[in-house]
Amino acid sequence: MKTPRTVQESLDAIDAWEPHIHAFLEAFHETDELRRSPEVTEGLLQGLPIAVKANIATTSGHTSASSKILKNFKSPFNATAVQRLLDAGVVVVGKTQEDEFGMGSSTENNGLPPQTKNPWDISRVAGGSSGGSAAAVASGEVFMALGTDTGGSVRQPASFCGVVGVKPTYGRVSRHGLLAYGSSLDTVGVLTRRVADAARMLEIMAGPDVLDATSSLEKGGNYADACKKDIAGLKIGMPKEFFAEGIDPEVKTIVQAAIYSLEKQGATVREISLPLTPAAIAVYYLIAKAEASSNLARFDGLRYETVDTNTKNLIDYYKHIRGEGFGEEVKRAVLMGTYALSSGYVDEWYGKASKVRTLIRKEYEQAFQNVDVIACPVSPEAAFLLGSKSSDPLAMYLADAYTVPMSVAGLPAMSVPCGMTKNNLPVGLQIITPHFAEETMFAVASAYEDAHTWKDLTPTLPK
Amino acid sequence: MITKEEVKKIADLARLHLSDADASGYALDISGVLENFETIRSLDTASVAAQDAASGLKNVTREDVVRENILGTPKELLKNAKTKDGYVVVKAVFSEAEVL
Repeated sequence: MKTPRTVQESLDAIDAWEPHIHAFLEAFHETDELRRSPEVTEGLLQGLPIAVKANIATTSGHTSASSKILKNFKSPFNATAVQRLLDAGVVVVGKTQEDEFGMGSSTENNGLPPQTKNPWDISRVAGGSSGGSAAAVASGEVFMALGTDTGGSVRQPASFCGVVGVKPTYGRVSRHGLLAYGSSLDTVGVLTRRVADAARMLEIMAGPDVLDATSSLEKGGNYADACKKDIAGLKIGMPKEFFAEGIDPEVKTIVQAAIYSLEKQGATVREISLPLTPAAIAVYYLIAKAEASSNLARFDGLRYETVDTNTKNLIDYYKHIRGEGFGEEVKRAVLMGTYALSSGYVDEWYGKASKVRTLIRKEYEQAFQNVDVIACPVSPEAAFLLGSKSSDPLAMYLADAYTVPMSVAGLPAMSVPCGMTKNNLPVGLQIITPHFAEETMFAVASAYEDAHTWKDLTPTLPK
Repeated sequence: MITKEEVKKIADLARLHLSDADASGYALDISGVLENFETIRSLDTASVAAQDAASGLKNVTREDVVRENILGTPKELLKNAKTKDGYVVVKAVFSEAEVL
């Protein structure tokens, strides 16, 4: 399965794969939606087909976040990340499926149909919440896809679908135009087949933006050049808590072998300890849900679309619209977040979580005194079967144990394919560096990719 | 830990219509999750400041000038809403019974 470099190749792949995997909420076949920037007539990215997750604003198609409450919403503007890519010449070919508002780890919490499936095995999940974006890249439907990563939503589906997934440092890429979930955690990330392609895309998206006051004032780096850097002498830390109880033994063996293989390229690997790792899930979910309950207050059924109802007054209208329009997990998030912020409980839950967040951040700062890079698994297991966790919210939350600590600490982290299980399912290696040290992260990911052949494996079109 | 009645009260604050059965289900779910999250309570944070943003920025400012239509005209920005004379049309705030 080749990586498409023209819009036509992309549309052909979409026609072939979509009936099996449903990566897209909508693919644009009409030319008026397939808009490109008329000023760009040449350049490396001219005409490259990309997909954009449904919770990132585009003037083409809908920006629904896969929620019934926004099913008809058309954004009047493009997100900054999208606009910068359009200005470089890419073409947006469609909007990808996701867990509603980014809340989930399997793309099974989609508020709008259909169900995304893993291109490697259509009985399994693509991961989430950027499952559609990961599946679209893995199947060769697009050259690159944008996703969002609040607690692992780019890295985990990238790992499950065998593609490269990058979550930049918090603030590295503008959040303008990203439909907010947890504002202190949200990032816009990229998914591609190859490390260098992700680096190039991030290079274009990164940098300050007047439309997002939390975007970093630091200039973006030369990420594509960083992919050619030597990793000899780099110190890599392998945190023992990520290989403890709960990890699938096969995943453990594959990831350990991948990390030690970097020694052949001159890096040194040592075991480190991050004892607060088990606390990160609680910290992450308390903060994310609290922020979500506040962010989702804006969906009132009035400003983004209006629905005819039989309600008597405004309060009834709000309750009806929100009760009907939000899916089960989103309602759970709003309820839990409202509870964690309510008078009498706020210190005990949100306040406590915010303080432990400081401790986690410091723990990583300390670890980076002794190592340049931290390497570990992305997920304790490979892609799981559709439906196997969807009835148990706690089990689904716990599956995020290896991706939420970096989100809580605001660190850059990426997933790079590092092996296949006996069931022919991809496994990802997670590479983490200090804040704004994406160059080192890309250097290690690229060195690993060069030395192995996982990049050449692609899924086969189901019959 | 969190009761069905508490869930209904929170739902009311969050402007969410919930059926009785839904409220019971959420009470059970959320109690289970919070029980699991209790582990962080035992961590010592007496001398720790809360962390809210990860990138370490403070006091981001801009020039004190008006930037017209930076995201589009009011008309473009309101295109998804039902409007009249440039205002968003809403239901009556009070029902008739309350007015009487």
